[in-house]
Amino acid sequence: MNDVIALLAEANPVRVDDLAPLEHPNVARRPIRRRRLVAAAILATAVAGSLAGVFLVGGTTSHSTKSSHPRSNSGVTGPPGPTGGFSVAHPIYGKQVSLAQAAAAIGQPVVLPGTASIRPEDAGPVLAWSRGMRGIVAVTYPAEGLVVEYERPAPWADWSAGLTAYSHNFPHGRLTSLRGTPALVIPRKDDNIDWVGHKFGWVTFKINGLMVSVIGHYGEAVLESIAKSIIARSPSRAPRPGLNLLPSFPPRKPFSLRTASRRLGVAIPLPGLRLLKRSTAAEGWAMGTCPPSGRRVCMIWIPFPGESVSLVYQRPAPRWLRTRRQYEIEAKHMNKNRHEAEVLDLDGVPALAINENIAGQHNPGSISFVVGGTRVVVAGKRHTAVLRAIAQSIVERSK
Amino acid sequence: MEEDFRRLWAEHHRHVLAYALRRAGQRTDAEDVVSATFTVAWRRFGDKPSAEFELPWLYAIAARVLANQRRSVRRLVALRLRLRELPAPAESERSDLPEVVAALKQLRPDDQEILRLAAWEGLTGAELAVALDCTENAAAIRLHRARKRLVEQLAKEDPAAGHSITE
Repeated sequence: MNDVIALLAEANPVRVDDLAPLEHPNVARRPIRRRRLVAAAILATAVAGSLAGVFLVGGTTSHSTKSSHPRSNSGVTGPPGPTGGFSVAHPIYGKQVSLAQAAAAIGQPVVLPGTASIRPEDAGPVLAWSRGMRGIVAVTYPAEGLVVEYERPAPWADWSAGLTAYSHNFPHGRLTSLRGTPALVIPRKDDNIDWVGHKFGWVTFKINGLMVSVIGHYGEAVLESIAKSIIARSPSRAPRPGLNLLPSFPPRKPFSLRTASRRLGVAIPLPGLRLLKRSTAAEGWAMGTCPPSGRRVCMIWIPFPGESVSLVYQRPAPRWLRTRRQYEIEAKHMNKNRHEAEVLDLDGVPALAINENIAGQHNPGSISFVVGGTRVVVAGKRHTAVLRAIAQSIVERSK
Repeated sequence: MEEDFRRLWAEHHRHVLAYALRRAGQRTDAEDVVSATFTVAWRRFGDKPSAEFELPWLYAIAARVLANQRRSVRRLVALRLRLRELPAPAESERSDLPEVVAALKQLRPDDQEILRLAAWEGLTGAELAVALDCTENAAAIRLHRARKRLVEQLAKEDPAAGHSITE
């Protein structure tokens, strides 16, 4: 006789021990400032009530805000929602970075808007988030009640068709053309209320492979003019693709290829020189506990930007995704979602190959496998056969 | 306080990540949940219960974050983060006992949650009460009823198996 709770416990799909630790989010920093500023605001209220609003408005950001701006007293930058949901001041759970670092997350310079009311120098905190091949940058303008988000890769191979289909989700949405660029305009309506209770509208368009969304507490005309200014300021051609494939972002502990094995604690199996020239390797970076200790995981990334390939090594390898059976299950799930995943056999070593084609776009693919207790991921914007040859070579050289 | 927060993170963030993965499906979503949960935890650090109930307290926050995250999907965030994310390859489908997970999913959300907290997060009566913001007695009653309904559901889906399972 089985107790149903015991049975359910056996069905537990996620074991804590299988999970690599995450980076500490440093969430402590921002609220400290906020508390201090709120305290300052209270003090200021006691001294001169008129100043309180200024402190409170500035208190939620790590930036000083322009209290003279007409919108600064609108409450736009008020406290984030109780669970930290979306607001223009806190649009994504990214890390605060410099614009240069943000550019690395999306693989090209961040083109800021430039209008009479929104100038490049008005930009507030910049947040970036990246996972694998995707990167999102949010440039906030807290005092202006605006955020501009840049995401790569943009969805839909056929942007116009995709956007048209997507617009059907928004009864008030309107398709338009901004300087010849198809865009979706969602007006500021009751449906769109952020976590601090403010209505917002947005304009989304694609430029140079990025999906750009201008989101703010403004009417359509203003949002469109801001969007147009980004289009006007953008270079006419997208930068060369292939850079910054992996690693994810932001780099934590940079190191040179020479010290990679010391970082991982074991000799790193690299592919044959014929396939990947060492001289094309860029600075790598490590994350976690390196070298690994006990169950503490070390991950290192070695990008080869010139080859559009990155290698990732992780020790100890996760318990999930080791066996052929596990890869088959994973592939089954991925194929359900239109990813093209298949299980490979690399000289007796099972591997999972993922061709991350999304709606016809040829995004980078990857092949992952475990050799000698190390999980290896070969990722790149290359034909699967090339990635497979690199993976095969790593397996051979690790024997 | 910051040191105490770092300890909280070090001790519990992977548990919260597992909690979120069991429910959010997508790893990226789950990591967002962890981040948001600890952001809220920091802001409410003054409300943090004693060490033994820290984790259930974090689960309670994570539950609200998850609920908000789901609501967010219908809003702007849908455009930004989840535009291209097709139906999530749920972590729960990776279970070695998919039929049990499938039966669980047939229950009411409240029943699912208390059963998951008991079986997957391993919470006891008092901890369940913290996580669900109810009395220990209420938690016990809810768990008892949920177990019963899960057994019934299992029996419905596989009568032969259902008879061999107790509440």
